[in-house]
Amino acid sequence: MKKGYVFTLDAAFAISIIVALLLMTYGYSITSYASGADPVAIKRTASDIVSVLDYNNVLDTLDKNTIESELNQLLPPNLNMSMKLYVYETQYTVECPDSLDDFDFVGCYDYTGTSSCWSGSKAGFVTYPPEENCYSGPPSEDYGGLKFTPSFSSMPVDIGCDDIWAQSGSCESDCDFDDVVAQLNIENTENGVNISLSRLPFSAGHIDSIIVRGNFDGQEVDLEVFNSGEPSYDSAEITCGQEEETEYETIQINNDLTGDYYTGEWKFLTFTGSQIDKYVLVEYKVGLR
Amino acid sequence: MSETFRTWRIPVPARFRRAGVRKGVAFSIDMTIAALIFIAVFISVITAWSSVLDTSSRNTERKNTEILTLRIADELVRSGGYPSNWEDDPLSAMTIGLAGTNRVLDTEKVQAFINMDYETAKQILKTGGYDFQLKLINSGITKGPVPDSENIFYTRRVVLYNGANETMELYLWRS
Repeated sequence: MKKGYVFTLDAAFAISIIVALLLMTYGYSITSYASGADPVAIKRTASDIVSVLDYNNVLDTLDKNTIESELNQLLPPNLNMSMKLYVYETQYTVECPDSLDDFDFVGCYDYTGTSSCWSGSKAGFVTYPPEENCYSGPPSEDYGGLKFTPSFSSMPVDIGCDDIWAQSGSCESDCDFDDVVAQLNIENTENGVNISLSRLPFSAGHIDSIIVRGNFDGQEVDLEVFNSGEPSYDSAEITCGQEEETEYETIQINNDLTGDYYTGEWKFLTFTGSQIDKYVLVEYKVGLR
Repeated sequence: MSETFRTWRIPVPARFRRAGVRKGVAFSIDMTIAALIFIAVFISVITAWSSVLDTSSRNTERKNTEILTLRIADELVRSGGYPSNWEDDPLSAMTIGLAGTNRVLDTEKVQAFINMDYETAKQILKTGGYDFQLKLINSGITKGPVPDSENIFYTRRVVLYNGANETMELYLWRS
């Protein structure tokens, strides 16, 4: 081999590497975006569908065919969902308070240093005029407190970053779009029904205090108080009945899911009068067709 | 000149000698070819890299606009707006939400939104200069002009409206 070929091969090799790297970078920059629908959008759509099925009392039927039929009507053409319902039968010897459906949760946010930044109103949770101070009186929107009447048929209620978002361009939130900062939940325990409000870490500020206030047997009772500080978890227990028996059955609705999918949960209660008779956990999976 | 020394000399091709070309020209041709190759590769690299950066920048903007679309749609279907009775005085609205309760649209709020001036609605929704169109498919309700752009961002939400299932579509684009 002549000497000149050594240089030529070296150069050809180097150029090939450069071209390959460029092609890979270019290819990655394209495929990193064109990876299909946004996961957040897919999850939101699935959450919409389950909540609408709940609001329409379709889930309450606990009938596989009815739920499957309604689900397929609501599904967009590009999505597919499967779900599994765990139905817990519960019996109580003592009737729950009549006011259970009218449960009020009040409280307020105080964004550290710049409380006026927060005036967002989402999911029926926050109605907090920026000029008002932190409020801890009776439930009243007039005083700028948070008035929240959760529907017990849609648990848990996620209180997300998008529930408390900055109105002013001068106030930037570090909170990611899909973060959940707190969650209201309800579950059956050996002693009865346990209602809890859990706080999750929230980087953009903190929830100064949330007063969970309920009306039980005609008495207004504070159920929960979160003070400012580190993220914490606590719960208030309400005994509205003694549980005698808990068992469950499952209802499976299968749609073929190929490729990546996302999961979610939905919980609701069914009532006979004011008495809780079923607790249902819905686990669903959603993905592109 | 000794024989040993002669063996180390690089012989000048006869054609160069005949043309009267000097010895250094051979090196110049090599250099010219090398320089041309280098320039070609350099231009290709710059062009390709510029294209990569451009694509990346466009992707970032698209991603941000997708999030904006989701944020606005979320605000519309999950909140009642602020103040909560903004539909009574739409010009006082700080945020627009169409929900009576989560994912259940309120007819009065929807009506107030439909009747609202388009530019005002854009401003309150904080579309960031993007145009928008909102559609309630089953009810045949549309707010905003027909999307007119190569890049249209779109999200679809399933809600309840007037006691029935409704599909809400939101389009965002930059004119």
